[in-house]
Amino acid sequence: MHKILSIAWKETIIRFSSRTELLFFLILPIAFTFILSDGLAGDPSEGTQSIELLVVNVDDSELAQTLVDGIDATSAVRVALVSAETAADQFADDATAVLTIPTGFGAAVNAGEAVTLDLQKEPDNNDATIVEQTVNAVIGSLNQPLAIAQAGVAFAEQTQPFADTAARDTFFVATLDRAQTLLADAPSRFVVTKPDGSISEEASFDVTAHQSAGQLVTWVFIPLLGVAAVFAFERNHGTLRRLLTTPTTKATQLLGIVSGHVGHAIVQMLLLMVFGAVVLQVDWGKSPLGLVIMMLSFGLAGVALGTMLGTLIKTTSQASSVAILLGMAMALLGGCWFPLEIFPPAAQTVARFLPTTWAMEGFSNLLAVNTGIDGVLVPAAVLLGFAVVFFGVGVWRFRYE
Amino acid sequence: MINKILRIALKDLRILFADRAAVLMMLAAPLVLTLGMGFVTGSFSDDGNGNSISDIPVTVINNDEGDFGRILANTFAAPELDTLFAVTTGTDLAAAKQAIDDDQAAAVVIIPAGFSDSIMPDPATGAVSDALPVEVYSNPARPISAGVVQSIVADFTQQVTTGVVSGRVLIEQMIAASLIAPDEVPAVAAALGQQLQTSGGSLNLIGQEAPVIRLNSAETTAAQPDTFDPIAFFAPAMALLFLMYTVTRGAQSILTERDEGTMSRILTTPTSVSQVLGGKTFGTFLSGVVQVGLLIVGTAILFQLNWGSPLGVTLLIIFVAAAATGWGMLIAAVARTPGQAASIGTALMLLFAILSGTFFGPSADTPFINILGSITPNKWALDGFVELASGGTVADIVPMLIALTIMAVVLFVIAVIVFSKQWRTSR
Amino acid sequence: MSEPILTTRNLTRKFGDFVAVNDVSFSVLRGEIFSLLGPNGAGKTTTISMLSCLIAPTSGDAAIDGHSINGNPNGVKNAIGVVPQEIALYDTLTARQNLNFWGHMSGMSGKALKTRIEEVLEQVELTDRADDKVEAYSGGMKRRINIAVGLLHKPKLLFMDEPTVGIDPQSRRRILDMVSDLRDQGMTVLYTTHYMEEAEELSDRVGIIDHGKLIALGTQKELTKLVGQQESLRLHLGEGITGESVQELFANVDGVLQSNALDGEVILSVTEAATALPGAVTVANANNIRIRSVDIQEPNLEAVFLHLTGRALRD
Repeated sequence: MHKILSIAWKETIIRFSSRTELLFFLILPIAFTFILSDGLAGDPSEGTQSIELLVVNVDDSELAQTLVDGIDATSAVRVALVSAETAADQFADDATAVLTIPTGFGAAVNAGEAVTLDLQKEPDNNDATIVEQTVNAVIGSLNQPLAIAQAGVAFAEQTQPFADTAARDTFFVATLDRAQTLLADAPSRFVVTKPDGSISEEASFDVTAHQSAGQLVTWVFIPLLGVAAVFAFERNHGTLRRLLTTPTTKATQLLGIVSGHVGHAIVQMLLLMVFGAVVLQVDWGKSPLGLVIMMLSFGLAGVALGTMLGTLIKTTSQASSVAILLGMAMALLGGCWFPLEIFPPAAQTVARFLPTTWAMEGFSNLLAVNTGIDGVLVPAAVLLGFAVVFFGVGVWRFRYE
Repeated sequence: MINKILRIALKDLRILFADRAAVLMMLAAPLVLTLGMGFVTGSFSDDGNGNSISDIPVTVINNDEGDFGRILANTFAAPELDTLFAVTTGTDLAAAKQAIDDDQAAAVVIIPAGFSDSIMPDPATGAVSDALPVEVYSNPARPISAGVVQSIVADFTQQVTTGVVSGRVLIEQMIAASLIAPDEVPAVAAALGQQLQTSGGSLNLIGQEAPVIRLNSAETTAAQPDTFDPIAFFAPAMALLFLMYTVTRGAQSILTERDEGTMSRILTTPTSVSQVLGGKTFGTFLSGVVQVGLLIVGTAILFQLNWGSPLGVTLLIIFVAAAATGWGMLIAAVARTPGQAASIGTALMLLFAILSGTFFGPSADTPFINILGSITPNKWALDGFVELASGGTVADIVPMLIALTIMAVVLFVIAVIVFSKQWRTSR
Repeated sequence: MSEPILTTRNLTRKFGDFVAVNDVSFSVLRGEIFSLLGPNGAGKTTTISMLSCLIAPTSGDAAIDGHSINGNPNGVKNAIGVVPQEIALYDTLTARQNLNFWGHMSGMSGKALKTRIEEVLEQVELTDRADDKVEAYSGGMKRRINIAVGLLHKPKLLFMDEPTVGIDPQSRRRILDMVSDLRDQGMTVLYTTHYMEEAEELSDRVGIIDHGKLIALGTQKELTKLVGQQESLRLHLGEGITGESVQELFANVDGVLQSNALDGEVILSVTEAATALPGAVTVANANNIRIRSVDIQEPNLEAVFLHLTGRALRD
């Protein structure tokens, strides 16, 4: 035990002897989480995953602003305000849809006139369909009281014509006012429920929570793969062989190196969770036991893969290149950056074979679903399975020089 | 003078491309990642829809006997939503919920029994019973898909609410304005209800026939015949990502030469410090040009990409390699050891990638990222490549070229100042 | 005697308060091998660095082939070839690629360079390995290519800074022979070393440097005269006895001029070894000092250094 700790401690000193290591340990993950969850953009609901709608708003009325804000507040669509020129340019390039709010829009609506807004959208594009649906829903909610008031006037006129325009206007305003009040008080006719029993009004995608977990997995995973470099280095410098001349078994050595790096990973995860919880208000504390299980199983799976790579890789510079490349690719494919649901089915199937996918699933379950440790048992079991396989291959192929 | 700079540059090029690990990172990695991004964004699938959601698996369980339940259920099966949803109509709630737990479906829409009755005002009194909500049982693992399902249901229930409220408001207001007498209420309510009920499957309620604000959506293809191929974004994005790797290698090699004595040895020959640094810089620049050039030719063949104006592409490669080399020289100037240079370089490489939207495709940047992104050579060059690939001309990329030039010049000046301080003691 | 190709005048280099090279003046004559002999850290490499225009002297100057190192570094660099102490080569390039690159750096090109590369490869006996990467070479082979690079452009003056450090005896022999051959070809060499034997074997003249100061200069003969006709008695002492503790005892033995202590041994400068030895043995026996072995040495550079500094050359 003492030897294992000594080896683990040696690993710690070597790793953190360079201050630039902190860059990868904390600074980059925090920067990435921050940037990707748009921590600086002010609105955490606005994720990079939502669809961008270009809006050309040349009307300065309150109603126009209400419409824009309403669209922007939805989870599926976010608004980018642009000039007509930019919109035309970008639409020609790659934008999905453009909504134009013309001058006098607000005034016309308030005068009870019918107004048409133009939405340009790309054909045969589901994103465009989603945008259209969303904009329609928002317009619908703006329309409601207006439509009721107008219809009221029409219906009343059918029954008995108004004495004069003033009486008509009075009726319109009164109906509008009443409709607004009643609509505001109207009961909701749908609820969103989740398997954990939570009930809400909206099935929103929590970008911040997703990125907090996703970047954690990414940046803990890369250095764990980097353990390959440790083996390459020690092999090249003959220190592994030298250790063997001391009364230290192969298993002790391996355990020392592994426990050192799993330890680093756990410290790193804890620090990143604290950052997520304190700065981004991500609720990491739902199930401490679940977190412990996930951190251990993920740490072991990662370090096991690093050990396996260590038997294949010859030099330290190769090892760090491979670690970054493989780590990024596996994180990307494992849904750590974008949710897996937007991947094509084939990619989702491939993702099932990556430890990053299961790590992400476990951590996401802890964040999104209130199921305690039930939500992490399967991911943790799969991760430990990965760990056994990778370690098996690693130990089998282990060479001292 | 020039000859020596060239010699040093070519020597560096030779050393770099003889290193298998380096070639792996410079050429293989970007190709693999481009393939990967194409894969996850579905660029290689048949529908060519790019990165978007389709065929959302949704189960509709309609326990309602009335018209409203039927209308809502039909909404999901509407032809225009055909590619968006893959609808299953079911009755077994437990099975449907199990499908969610197994991640087989995004959401279950449960329309409660008596849903229609809860909407219609009592024909006798005009009173409305308590609202029975439609339940959207959503899969937390597919928040975006569930969100789309929810928005359809929300849209529908909103219209229902409008209908109900409008009936109530109308009757109230007409009584208030003495347009009808209280005893006429049941008859009017019945008439309204009839209108509400029979307004057809499209649920055109009162007033909805002529909404005040109408959305006129037009499918416009604009200048482009078809949607932009995401690969045309990811291929240059990945090439630029690993261009930063190459210039980092350049920075490392300056420090390695200093540490291992070859730099000093060159200086014992009739070669000046500025020639050595010039040669190293030029070598880094050349490596970058060769790398990006090879990648562009490679992806053009592999992915059948049309990169657009050859002159524009060539200019862009040269200018972005220069700007990236500027970053490399800055790294060499501030780092103390080759290892430090590698760490700083890798960090910058990833940071630049994220700031330039490398992993998120062409249209997914926020204003914040946009502003910070403009310090990266990646962003400008990407804009340029995308512009050219969508048919832009050299004139269209002039702003990008200017920005890259400014970046290169500023970085070189800073690097030279730092270098000259470091090398002042020698000569 | 030929005229000097290199003359230094009061060459001094300070690093902060530390004086690495202190007021050094000497000349190297055309066609000779001149050794700078001194222990590690004596200032040899700093001197070479100044002479090859890598670092500027704090004060003083040197002229090489008529060019001042302060005034005309490029003139100097054209005249010199440098074999640095570390192996300054590109590991991942082949020997031939290295030579080609360095030749260009020295201003050579084309066919002349090509021919010359073959010549030096021949000279260092690595022609058959010329297309292997340097990283695959043994330490000795790397050293030889390191030297070959310095020879490429046929410099008028070759600096060799400890070219035999850290290699096996066989490779060392090869390099020493190579340097002898160079002299036979008329090359002028400034050779630094801390191995007395190398300086003795190779040099026409030797400068002894210690703590940055040139403390003696001349041919081997001239230098050994400094210690007179003395011989050295080197007494290796038994275990557990340090030289310092017994140094004084031997100083009073008849015929002993000087007694110097080293680790585990005592070196006695004597007028004649044969007469001094019995006295020394008697003293040892009387004091219960065990002498394990005795070396008798003719006057050499080691003795000169010892005489001048009271310390041994080694370490």
